[in-house]
Amino acid sequence: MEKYLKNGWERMNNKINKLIEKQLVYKGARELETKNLRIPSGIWQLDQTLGGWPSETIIELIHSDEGIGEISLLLPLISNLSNTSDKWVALINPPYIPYAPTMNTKNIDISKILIIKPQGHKEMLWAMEQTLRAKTCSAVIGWPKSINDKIARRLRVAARIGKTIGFYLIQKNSAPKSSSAPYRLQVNKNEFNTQISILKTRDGKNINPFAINNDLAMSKI
Amino acid sequence: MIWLCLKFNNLPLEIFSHKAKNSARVAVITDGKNSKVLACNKKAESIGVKIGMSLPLLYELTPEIRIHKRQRSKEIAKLRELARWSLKFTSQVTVSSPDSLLLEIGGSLKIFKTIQKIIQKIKNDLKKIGYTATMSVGPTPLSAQYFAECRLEIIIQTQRELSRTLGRLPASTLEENPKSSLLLSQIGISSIQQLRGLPRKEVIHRFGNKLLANSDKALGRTPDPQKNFIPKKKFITSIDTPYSIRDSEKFLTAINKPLEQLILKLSIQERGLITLEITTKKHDKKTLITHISTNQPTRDQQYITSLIREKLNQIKIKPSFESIILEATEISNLMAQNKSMFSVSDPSKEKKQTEIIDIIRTRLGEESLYSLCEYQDFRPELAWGQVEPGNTISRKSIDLLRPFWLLPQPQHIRNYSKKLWINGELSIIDGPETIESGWWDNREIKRDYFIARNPGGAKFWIYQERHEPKNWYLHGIFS
Repeated sequence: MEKYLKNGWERMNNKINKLIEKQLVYKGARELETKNLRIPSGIWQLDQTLGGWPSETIIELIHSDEGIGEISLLLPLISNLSNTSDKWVALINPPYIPYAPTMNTKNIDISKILIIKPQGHKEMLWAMEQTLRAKTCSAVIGWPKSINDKIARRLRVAARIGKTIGFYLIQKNSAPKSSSAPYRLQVNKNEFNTQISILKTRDGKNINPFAINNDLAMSKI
Repeated sequence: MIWLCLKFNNLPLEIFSHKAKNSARVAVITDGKNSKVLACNKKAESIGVKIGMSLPLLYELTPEIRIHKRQRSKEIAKLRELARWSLKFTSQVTVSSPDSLLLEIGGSLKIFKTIQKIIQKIKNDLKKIGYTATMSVGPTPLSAQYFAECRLEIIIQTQRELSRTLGRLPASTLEENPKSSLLLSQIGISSIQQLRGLPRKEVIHRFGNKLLANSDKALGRTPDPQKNFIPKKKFITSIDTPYSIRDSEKFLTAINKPLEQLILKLSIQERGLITLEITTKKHDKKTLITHISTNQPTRDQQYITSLIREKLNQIKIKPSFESIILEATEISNLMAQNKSMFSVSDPSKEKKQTEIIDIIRTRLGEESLYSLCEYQDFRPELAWGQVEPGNTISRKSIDLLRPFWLLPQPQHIRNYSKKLWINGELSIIDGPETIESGWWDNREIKRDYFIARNPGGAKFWIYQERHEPKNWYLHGIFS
């Protein structure tokens, strides 16, 4: 009898696992990311409020315009990972040329940077999923044209499999109203500084917007 | 005996050319320190890239060039593959490293009638597969080789012609030894004929045996037995498919077994797969379905299957065939290649690092993925370049104020009544930084760079041409 029950359990577990693999069923968030891994972000307000960047998941980064400091939010992380890990940092479909001399001055090891320029939107998402789940990328940063719930969920699963941190940057007018990304941040800019609002965290914590140094984006000023 | 030498002068370059688009500039650089250009394609030549050019000079010319480090192991593998192909012209082939094949074609004349016809046929074949060779014919293997080395595309058959023509070649052809070459020129000996005119004893005393021994072999005075090329057992497996296969998953299931056998064959010989061709066969008619290639030799079945799946998803399989054939067309020693460019010491880890590159390129194409490098050039657009992942060459940093994003082409900035405008009026917050450079290569720039901000808070890297009409351009975005 006991043996029979055990077999039944196993069979059911197998079936559930298969469903999860096919993404017809999702595990609850709490169980999904019990390990509360964090990577130092290099930005003290973020480290204080979030405890650093959450790893093994994806983060949606909404910015109101190009060039308002959305990259400077990620530079300390890229620098850190490129120097401490053998893995790649993949930039997928960047809007312009990531300028190698600037990366060098920001202490980024550019030999770890992979640039991927897919031809279309579908290919872009595919490349992002592949790099996230490859286990050979320490971070994946993508610039998709648009994003929806299903895609965000797929990317999240991929990031968990690959134990990678993934970001996608999206302009405010293309950003979805709600998202299944566990973390959502918005970058705004006024004349004096860059404002970071944390719209959503996994545990639903409310965090006040904060400003980061306006000139973080620049080398010396 | 009639010997035909095929010398593949461009082999270091041609092993890469199938990967690149025709429009791309490609250069191969020597391995080791102080890399120099070893070979380049016509596109690169047309903008002034020359063999022997140093890397910084090359970058001065253009950042838009694909640079590969020389890969000797791949060259040897290719040469052996070409040797296997040349067996269709004769059964007696010698591989003469690093880049030549020697074919005994005397016995083939019954079939091909004339030497010219054989050469023409070989030329046609080579053109199809994208390789070029210097072809020379001589009555001895070494004479044919020497003619090809001197780039003399001639057909020499008689002994008299041989001693006359060979005699005219530079004496330094006989031995690749800078010391002897120097010594030869110092005593005023330039040709082989002159050398042979000297007393043998004296020559041997001064230069050792090799020079004369080689010239004797080339002239056919001493025997020069050749080591016959015997093709390695083909790494090929197949499976009969009595039922029709339409979708790619079923196709993958069908090739599971033969793939396993292939990998077993490879593992017995301690080899890894680089290129795999999949063909289908119906009534002896073969159709190439697809091929996959990997950055590093591998025997990982799961990984190979995933690459094949990716390829199959892109194509439609015609269901009418009777069998599927898998052939490893390019293989390599698993151990030999591991000492390559990545700083990772663990070979198994290193192989994994490059897997994602293969996966992405298999689906999105060779050009879709690259790494970056920095070049020493004051001109912003020439201070960066694309390289093969793992080939990032120079690393240095001048601490200048530069944007994270560079525009592929500077963009003209709109100008409303002398006000600069990008989503609002720009105000200049830093500058000018004058950059004047490049007068030596016709890509001269004279610009004043500024950092500007718009009302939205975005920061731009802009410049004004120093010459009239002093236009303004957007060149980068700080972010």
